Amino acid sequence: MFRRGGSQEWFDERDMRSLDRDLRQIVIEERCSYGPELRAQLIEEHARLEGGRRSRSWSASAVGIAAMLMLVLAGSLAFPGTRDAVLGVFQSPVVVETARSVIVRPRGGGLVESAPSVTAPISEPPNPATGSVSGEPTENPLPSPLLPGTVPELLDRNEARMIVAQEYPALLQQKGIGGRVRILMWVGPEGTTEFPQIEHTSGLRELDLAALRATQALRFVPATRLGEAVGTWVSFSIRFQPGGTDLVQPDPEYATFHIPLSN
Amino acid sequence: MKSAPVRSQPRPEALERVQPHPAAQELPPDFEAWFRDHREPVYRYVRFRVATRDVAEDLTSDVFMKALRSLGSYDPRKSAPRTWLLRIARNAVTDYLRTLQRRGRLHVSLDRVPDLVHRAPSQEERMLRAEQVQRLLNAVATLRAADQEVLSLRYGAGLANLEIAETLKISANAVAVRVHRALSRLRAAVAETAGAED
Repeated sequence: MFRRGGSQEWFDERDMRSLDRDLRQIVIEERCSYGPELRAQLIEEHARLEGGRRSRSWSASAVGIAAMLMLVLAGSLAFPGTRDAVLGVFQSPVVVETARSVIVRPRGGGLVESAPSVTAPISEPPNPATGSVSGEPTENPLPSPLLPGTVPELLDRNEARMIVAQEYPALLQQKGIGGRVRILMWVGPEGTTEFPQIEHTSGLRELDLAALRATQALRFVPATRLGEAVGTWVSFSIRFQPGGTDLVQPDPEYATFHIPLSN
Repeated sequence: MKSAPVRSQPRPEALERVQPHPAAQELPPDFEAWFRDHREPVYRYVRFRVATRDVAEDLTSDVFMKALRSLGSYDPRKSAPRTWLLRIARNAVTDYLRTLQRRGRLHVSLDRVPDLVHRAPSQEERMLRAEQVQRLLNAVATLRAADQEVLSLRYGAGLANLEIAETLKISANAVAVRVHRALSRLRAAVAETAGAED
């Protein structure tokens, strides 16, 4: 990747190209749920900003209208003939209400934000029992980014234990040497594992490598979000101990994306 | 399969409180496109300059929040959207590093770099590469801010020299010289840190 030693002042083009290539090859992986989370936050912020703008412009308009009314009323008092015409405007008020979105809580627990279903002027309050307005249906709710997701799970726990046991070096078993390795890896939307890395070493290179080999063979049911399979990082520990191996739940650094391996 | 709440979700009570106007339930179209096209370069730039993924996520969020709030002041005649966003990102990173410096915590260990990976064919090679990436980034962290800046724009955000020039408001030639010098110093830093480990 890069050489060391020799005079530090000396720097040739070959070193430069090598360093340039190595830096270009670094891949920065974004947490898979980060983009949707940030987008949801931005939408919320945008809604807040829009709300602020609307209320500001509404209060400015209200002040303007009030001032105009005062002037008109003052004028009508001075000219009684126009009074009836002016007051007539207020005898048949036009009710204009804006559309609103409705949030309903389904029986299953998660929150579903319904479509902004009301486009006509609202004449009655929403029905609390149905969450709908004036009997309008709230079928086909829009998918919401706020629905719960699911975490990856092992396809077959017993198979996983066997895989780990097979990778436990026999020599270490005979000598009664064990240890615990914490692994971090990417479980893709197809359930395949990628980029397994040692998050916490056992202190023994042989055990670390055995853990890495084992993780390559593990099979997972992928995580889901909005009902679709997504890739995610997962963190878990593998414990090698003479007489039996185990996969245990880690400290939940990635609190919502851990593998519940313990019984 | 067990279900779990997705990280960093808004609380349900907050949801019920916020009932945005239908027109505001989406991002402005231009901003939506920026978010789609430039989130990754901005995140990569920030991640290249700070030690942990969590900090990079927070700073990237700040960048887009600031951009959204000051969308009205963006002038397309003065800069491209990516340049504008990266300028906000640079300021955010500088402010963050300044805060760390004030608290005397500028040195942050890069022991854990799970999101920085190096595609390599075999498992053993990946492990070896991960160590090398870590060593390389530790060396980058020892460089002065201007060198880190230019390397982050080039290798983090993936900008070409001309784009870096636009972001830093210098000539493309000056960028080339800066990159060359930064790489030269990086090589020396790598050798130094490797020597210190022996």
